[in-house]
Amino acid sequence: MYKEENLTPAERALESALGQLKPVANALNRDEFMFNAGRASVGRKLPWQMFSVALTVLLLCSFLFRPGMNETYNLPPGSKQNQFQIVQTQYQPAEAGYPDSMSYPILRENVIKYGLDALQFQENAGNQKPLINQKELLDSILS
Amino acid sequence: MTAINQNQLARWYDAYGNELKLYALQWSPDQQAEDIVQDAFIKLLKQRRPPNNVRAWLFRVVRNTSISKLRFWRQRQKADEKFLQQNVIWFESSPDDLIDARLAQKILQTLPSNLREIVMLRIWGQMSLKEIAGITGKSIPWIHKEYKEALEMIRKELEHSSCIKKKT
Repeated sequence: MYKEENLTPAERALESALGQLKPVANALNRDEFMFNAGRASVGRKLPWQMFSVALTVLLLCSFLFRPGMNETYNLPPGSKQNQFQIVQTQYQPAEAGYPDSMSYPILRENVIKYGLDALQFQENAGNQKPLINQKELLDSILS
Repeated sequence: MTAINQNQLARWYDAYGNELKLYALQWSPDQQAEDIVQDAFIKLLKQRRPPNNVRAWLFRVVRNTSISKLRFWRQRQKADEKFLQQNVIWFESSPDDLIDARLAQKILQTLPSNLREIVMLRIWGQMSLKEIAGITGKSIPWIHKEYKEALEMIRKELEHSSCIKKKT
């Protein structure tokens, strides 16, 4: 440790004489400083930080309050049913082992086209019987 | 340790503000020195927790800011001229003073900047040689040597001035 007291008496006297001089007291504008300090302490919350916080809150809200898969709608009064549910269904592909002609869209198309006879076709599809409609069936019975 | 609040900052400002400005005046003109000191306190406010030695920290920040501004302007020569020409009063005059305030300021202004800085830190910054060494980046024995050298120069200047006064 270096000894700070390693000064001659003359140097000490000069040091204390200089030390009596006081720096100018009103050298600084205290009000201006306190204003700047206040502004700086508020300025610590930067705009981009506040913006990112707002975005995060919005994102959370959108997750929490997003519309669900099942929604209930209110019908106008006097309608037959006050409420109904929209149920979304997914297309189910034909089970493995069935021919393509047995898939639902094709079967539906056939039912629309040929009526319920198409269902008979579905039953007979496994037996590989030819498709006949109601008229042909009646003819075959009568004949 | 918690963050610095404004009351604490105001206390430190009252305690060290004038000494810091006196220190900054070595490198900068009056208004600029004040800005540098204020910036140092604003930097202190932005610290998450106060430094261990607030006084030494403030002096170091004032020094670094003043020097970096000087480097930025590349006008050291002009700044020195400005510094010598400026009419800013450094010390309050009092009839009890052993040394005339104006004379002391004049002598300090003519000291080499490295010696003047050490005298400022030691006498008006009330710093130990170790703290001065920490701020200036020099060794303690070197600081001690320069401090003694500065005191010797001041003493000679004072003697010279008193001789002139006696003659007149």
